[in-house]
Amino acid sequence: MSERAFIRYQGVEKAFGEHAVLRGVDLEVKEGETVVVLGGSGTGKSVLLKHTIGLLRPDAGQVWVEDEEVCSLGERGLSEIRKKVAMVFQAGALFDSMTVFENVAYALREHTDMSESEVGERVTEVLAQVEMPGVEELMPVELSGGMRKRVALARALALKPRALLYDEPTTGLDPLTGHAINTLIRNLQKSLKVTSIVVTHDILSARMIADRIAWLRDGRMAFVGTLAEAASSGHEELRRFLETGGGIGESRRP
Amino acid sequence: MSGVLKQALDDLGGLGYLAWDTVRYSVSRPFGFGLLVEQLFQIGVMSLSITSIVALFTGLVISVQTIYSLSSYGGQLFIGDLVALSLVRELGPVLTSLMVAGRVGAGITAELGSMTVTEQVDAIRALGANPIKKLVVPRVLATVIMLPLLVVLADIIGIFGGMVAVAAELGQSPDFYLRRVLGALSIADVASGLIKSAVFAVIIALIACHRGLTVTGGAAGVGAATTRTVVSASISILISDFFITKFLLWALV
Ligand SMILES: Nc1ncnc2c1ncn2[C@@H]1O[C@H](COP(=O)(O)OP(=O)(O)OP(=O)(O)O)[C@@H](O)[C@H]1O
Ligand SMILES: [Mg+2]
Repeated sequence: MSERAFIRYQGVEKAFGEHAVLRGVDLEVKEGETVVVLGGSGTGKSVLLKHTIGLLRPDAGQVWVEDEEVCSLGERGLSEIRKKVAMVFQAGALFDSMTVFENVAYALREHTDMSESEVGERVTEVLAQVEMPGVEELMPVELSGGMRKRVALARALALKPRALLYDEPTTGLDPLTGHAINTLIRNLQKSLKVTSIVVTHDILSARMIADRIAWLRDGRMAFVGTLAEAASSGHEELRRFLETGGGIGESRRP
Repeated sequence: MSGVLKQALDDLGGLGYLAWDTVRYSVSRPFGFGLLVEQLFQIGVMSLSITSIVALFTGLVISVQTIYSLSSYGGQLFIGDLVALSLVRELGPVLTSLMVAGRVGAGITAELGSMTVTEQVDAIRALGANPIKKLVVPRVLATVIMLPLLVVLADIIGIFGGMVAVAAELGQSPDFYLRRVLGALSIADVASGLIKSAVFAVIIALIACHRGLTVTGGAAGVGAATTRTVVSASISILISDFFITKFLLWALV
């Protein structure tokens, strides 16, 4: 892990109408590092991730990816950022009118001039990487929740991104499948050295993959540091969050 | 009241942007021929049966009505003229467009709306593609190409319906009826019907895409947006019909 920040949020503010969601988020994620973002439902974790690749624009503040300020980029610049930083959406967001193959091949066809056979090879390769070989011709509706998350991950990996944003990769899965996904994420960290931001409610998952955790509360990062630091910190609510954590994922939702 | 007005202005502004982006991205490369063909098929074929049924019965009913109202003046000879003119100039384009607003417009909003709430639209952008180019352009183009064709089909079926009614009620020969029809129609009549339907197509597709892409509030939001698409597209068709008619009468005659 280098000391250079790969992704940096600086005073990011975002409101939807009257509802202020982010009120000045500061966070640095170093190259090769995995930061796990924790926080209650509806605190704006997904909103924060979407700012990273310009899917949402902040009302104030800046988002940096390496040495580029995301909000100042035009369409072409954003497209370059999105090649470098891929996102795995909360429910997968697979295109349900397309087969798994077409889903995974999407970015390859959009950004590269690979031949059909090269595209096919790369698709097979990333599907193997997420341990889902041989599902190319299935439609997303034919997949289970866990399979969808893997395919979504494969789609994000297709272009060999340098950073990955995971939005609740294990929420709604049984513990074993969740564990398998966590293992997968950790292996990707190790083998590909990708910088990662992982939003999750799953404390087990945080323990397995986090270099540092960031705790989003009331629109700001109330705590950023290692798990050990968190346990000994004065944040009563964060400590309770960590202790009761584990299986609460889905059940915390109203 | 000011809330409603603000909402309306926001919608108009959003539609304006969308229209401009659609123009911009329909000329940008690569063209995306496959997506267009798929939509041509979806939109055209999806609407064939309802368009035909509506047109057939419209043709039947106008000729029955005209037979009834003209018989006291001895005007039965002109029924072909009346059926042809009212169908080609007005009823064909408007009724077909209203049906398409219900069928295709609702379909587009429901599809794009559910893609929006399941983050598939965000995913398109995250993968470095553009949702306007991938989703909106093919739908708008396909509607603009298909709706006038459907209208031509509706005109023909409606005129045929009129022929059946006139033959059954009055025993008028199809040959005579069709000669009246062809004699009554000018190029300007046909052109005005086609121009109208192309404008209606733009209205339907843009409103439907805009509502779909701006859905919030999950599945319930998709349902509400779909209803609103049908209502606002239908009203916009009827209102703009008046102004286009005035304009075309001034421009073409
Ligand atoms: N496009 C949007 N328009 C309006 N409000 C939005 C939009 N996106 C998010 N919000 C609101 O912002 C708040 C934060 O949403 P977000 O999805 O980031 O929560 P989250 O922390 O990811 O929660 P969860 O754990 O349930 O996924 C919510 O109150 C949501 O209603
Ligand atoms: Mg979320």
